[in-house]
Amino acid sequence: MIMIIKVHGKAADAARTSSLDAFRIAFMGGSSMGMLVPIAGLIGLTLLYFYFPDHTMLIGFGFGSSLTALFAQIGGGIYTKAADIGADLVGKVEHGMPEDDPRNPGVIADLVGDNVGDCAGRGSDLFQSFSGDVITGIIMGIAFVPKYGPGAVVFPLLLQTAGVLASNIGIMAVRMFMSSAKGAFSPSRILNTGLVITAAIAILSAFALSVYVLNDVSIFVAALSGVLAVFAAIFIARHYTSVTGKPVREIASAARRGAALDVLKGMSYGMQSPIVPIIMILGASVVSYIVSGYSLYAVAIANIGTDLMIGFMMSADVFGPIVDNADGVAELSKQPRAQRSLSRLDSVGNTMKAYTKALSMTTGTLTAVVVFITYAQIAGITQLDMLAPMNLAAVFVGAGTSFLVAALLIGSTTKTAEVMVDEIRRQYHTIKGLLQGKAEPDYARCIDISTSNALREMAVPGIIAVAAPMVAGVLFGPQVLLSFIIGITVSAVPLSIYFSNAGAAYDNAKKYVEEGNFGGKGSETHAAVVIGDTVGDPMKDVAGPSLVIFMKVVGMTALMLVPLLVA
Amino acid sequence: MILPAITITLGIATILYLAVSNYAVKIRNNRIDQVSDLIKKGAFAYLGRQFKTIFVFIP
Repeated sequence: MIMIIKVHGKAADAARTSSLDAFRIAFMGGSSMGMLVPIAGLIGLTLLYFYFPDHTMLIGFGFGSSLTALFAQIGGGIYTKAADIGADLVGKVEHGMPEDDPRNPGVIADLVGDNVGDCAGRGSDLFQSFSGDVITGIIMGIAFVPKYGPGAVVFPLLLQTAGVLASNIGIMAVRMFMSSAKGAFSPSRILNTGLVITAAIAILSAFALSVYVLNDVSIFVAALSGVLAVFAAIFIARHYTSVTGKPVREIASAARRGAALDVLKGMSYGMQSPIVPIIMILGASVVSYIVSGYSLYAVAIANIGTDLMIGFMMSADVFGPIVDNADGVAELSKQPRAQRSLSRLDSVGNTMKAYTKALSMTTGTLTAVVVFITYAQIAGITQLDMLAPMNLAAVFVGAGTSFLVAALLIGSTTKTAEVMVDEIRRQYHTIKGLLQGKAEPDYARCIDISTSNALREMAVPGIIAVAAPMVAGVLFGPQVLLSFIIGITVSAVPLSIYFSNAGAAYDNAKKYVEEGNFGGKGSETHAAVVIGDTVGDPMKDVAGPSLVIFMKVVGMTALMLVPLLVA
Repeated sequence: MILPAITITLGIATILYLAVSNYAVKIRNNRIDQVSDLIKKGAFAYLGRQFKTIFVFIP
């Protein structure tokens, strides 16, 4: 945050004269944070790995990073979405103001939210994925020392390191392309080329390490299947959420007959969207398992394979909120030329954000699966009797718990947004001349509402994530706890994909109408898609990403409990 | 140990290079600078309180 907080202003300033300069500043700002995420993880894990001979102590690092990420994601998500909903409902819908209008009291809180939600929230999410995947890989590797030798334990750390190196090279390649670009340039082509370079180097490094350290090509196939699962998830997410895709256009078309049909169409496509990614992502784990001769270690490596591009993806992801903020700053400071340059970069930033959400979903799903496999392994559970009533009940209670957490998250966002709407309306009624642009709004009051509510509301889901597995494990034993984790994972994965894709589809249906389709801005269809987008906001930016982290915190808590449960 | 050490060193060098290059860029427009400062203050107010909340809650 410290690194990127002034970058949007610098990008907005540069965009007044050069779109390329704005692109360079925004991407370099994004990369400084994007690289810090894996480098910080690598420093922590390397130090703990080499200074603590008992590698199970790494679980504490994973638990801490997951719990902090849960707080950062929930707090950041509630903050940003409550401000966004408040600013949109009152400013845009009730008063017909454009996005980021300086007369809107919630606009600064909305821009702050992009930083604390999209940058800090997602950064901490990917940090805990990066760390958790290495930790489960190392713990799993301990059981495979007889087969591969001591290399099995250090291999996950080395593979993740190769991914960081590949991201570093990808970022430097983008920097080089930017330096050689002159006049007309394509930001999306430059970023996509950087991503392909990163993936290619990561795959080559995975091959070299698999052969050199473990002398087993099937482990390389596992890592490769993880990389391919990420690309497959990106492809599917694009289909369901891209402005050019059929689902988004049909949602926008349904909005011509009212907001209810817009919402229903989005729900229908959203519920359709998890099945293919689930098959692809879990297919990667099944392929790895079979190709390696039924080795669970390969499943853990496939999981690390999904992380190999994290540094680059995080850089491209942070680029999104930076240009989005820069666009807002340009609007607020009345810089039309900068806005024109930034709107093109903003659409590229949105695509990159969609890529990273797909990455986060893929790595989150596989991590959750690997965490409960690791739990079963260290708890000595080789078989689980699903016909035992206690186990069966725990699966159902686990499935219901994911819905409870999602309900709490959406409810908290709604509660905060209600306070925000009331406050913005109050300011319009009490501050004379505000609507005419003759008086300044009280931005600080809206910032304070988002801050206090977001921090208060993040506590309960955090307590559930830690307390629920403790209760299940301590009162009913390790088998019931495993069943409980399976229930949570099985419901949280499709639910989070549904929330993320439906929410993004509502958002892009709104953008599609704002491009001039079906009557464009100000039409009844526009009012309907704005309502759809408001419904989708807490789904895609609070509940969806938070559920992914929630199931990992539950898994990590279970791992921490193993010594107590099997003693 | 060698591969992580090289990667960490290169990574830190890259982060510093990118951060310092961006730090050197100054905002020339006053209005942009003022708006940017408002966002900065809001973000730090949130982060400071979040930091305190998390570190009270987790232990």
